[in-house]
Amino acid sequence: MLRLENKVCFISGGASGLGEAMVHRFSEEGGQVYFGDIDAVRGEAVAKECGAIFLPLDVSDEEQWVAAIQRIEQDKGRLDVLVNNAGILGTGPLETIDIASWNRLFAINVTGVMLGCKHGGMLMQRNPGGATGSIINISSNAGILATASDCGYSATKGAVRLMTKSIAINFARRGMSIRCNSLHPGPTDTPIFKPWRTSEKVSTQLDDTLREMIPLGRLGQPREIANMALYLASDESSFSTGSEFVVDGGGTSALAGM
Amino acid sequence: MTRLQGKVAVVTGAARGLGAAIATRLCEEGAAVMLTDILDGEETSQRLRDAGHQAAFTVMDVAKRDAWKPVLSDTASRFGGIDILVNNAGVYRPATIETIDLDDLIDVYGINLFGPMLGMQAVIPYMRERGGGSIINIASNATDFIFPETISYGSSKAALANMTKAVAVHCGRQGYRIRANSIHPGPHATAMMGTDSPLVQRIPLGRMGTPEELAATVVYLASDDAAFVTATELFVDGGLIAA
Repeated sequence: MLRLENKVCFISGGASGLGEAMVHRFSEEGGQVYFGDIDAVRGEAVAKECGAIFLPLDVSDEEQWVAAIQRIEQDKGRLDVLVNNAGILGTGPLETIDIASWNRLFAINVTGVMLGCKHGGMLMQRNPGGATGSIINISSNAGILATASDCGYSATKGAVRLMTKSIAINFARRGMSIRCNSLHPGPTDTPIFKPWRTSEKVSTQLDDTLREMIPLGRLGQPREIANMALYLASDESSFSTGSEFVVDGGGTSALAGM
Repeated sequence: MTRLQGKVAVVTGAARGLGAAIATRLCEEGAAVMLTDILDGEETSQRLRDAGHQAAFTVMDVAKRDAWKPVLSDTASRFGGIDILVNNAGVYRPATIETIDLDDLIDVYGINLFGPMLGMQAVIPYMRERGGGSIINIASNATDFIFPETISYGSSKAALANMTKAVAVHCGRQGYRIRANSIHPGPHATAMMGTDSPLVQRIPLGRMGTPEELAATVVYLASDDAAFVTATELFVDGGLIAA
């Protein structure tokens, strides 16, 4: 028995990085996987690799969410797993924040997650046999500890952490078996760091700094984050809701370098 | 189901309840399991062997300084090494600050806190020999959910969660590839908890957890799926502490 057998899944931001690893991992475990992304070229390529279905999606646009969820309902009549994974890095130091970038950051990292929970959650409530499902919101270890150089990113990821609990308790108190938890990855080897890797020297320095933060002494691999998402997506985690799940090599528990 | 094929686990407090469910699930995933308890766990162990699993039982009081060495040595020679330690044995004695007796507090700390410390200290050499391992300490959501009566239980579990992180960070920095995490169950239907706890109406999911739901989380942390997960707390509590 595969761990996501017969489960209909949707992952936002599934064309690269963590989301791509989840699309692959969920497919391996028997999930019927749909995923969204703004990058249609990479999206179609990932879809081809593992037999998942790509749907174009800008998470900050409510109409696009409605269309994506409608498509899944037409195809499968249900949704069992939703991963709100799409996200972007922040806006840099406080003094230089540009309001348009700030609004875009919140539109994607916070509003995008809310819209996913809203429309994905409403389809889960219509599931045949009653409301069931698991929603996994990708926050960050930066939603637990602050990143001094980027108040915007920390603010959005902290918002996701508490929004998740509110949604979880609201569903649970209304007697619905729809769970909602946040996943907090630490530094992971994904293209999100690409803008910083301007030279080999800078790239090595970045890796050294990141390693110093992490007791396990290495970056996480996307598959390791996907494994936690898989646990939360499956019935193995059926008594967990409104909780925080950290996958960061011990980074939030230790002072860097000590 | 072979997510733990070839691995060897020690589970304390495994004669019944959560511990027995954990041992059973680890066996079902392919691990060889040494069950320990101060109660008789031979029946549980025999049931697992009858089902074709590798299991053994030995009596052990986790709080006794000299208890661990022979048990771990026996486990390693019987099954070839040790990869997983589940510190599950625990005790709850209700008291408030006005009624608590120091000897009772020391007993509770002995089983809930000093025992896991002794176990972690004793198991590290075995895990290093295997090139890594996973330590799983069963704490409680009582670390974050306070009643007047949980003065000894809650504080022992909070200390256990904190100790787990110190061990995890130490092992990580030493490059041992040994992970350590705590699981924080909410009310689960067991003999220790009963099935009619007044807490139930406060659980957002509206029910107690089952031992199997806790065991599934242990499997995740024990497996290589969780290779980047260390020094963290996993709550399996039906949402109790979230609101």
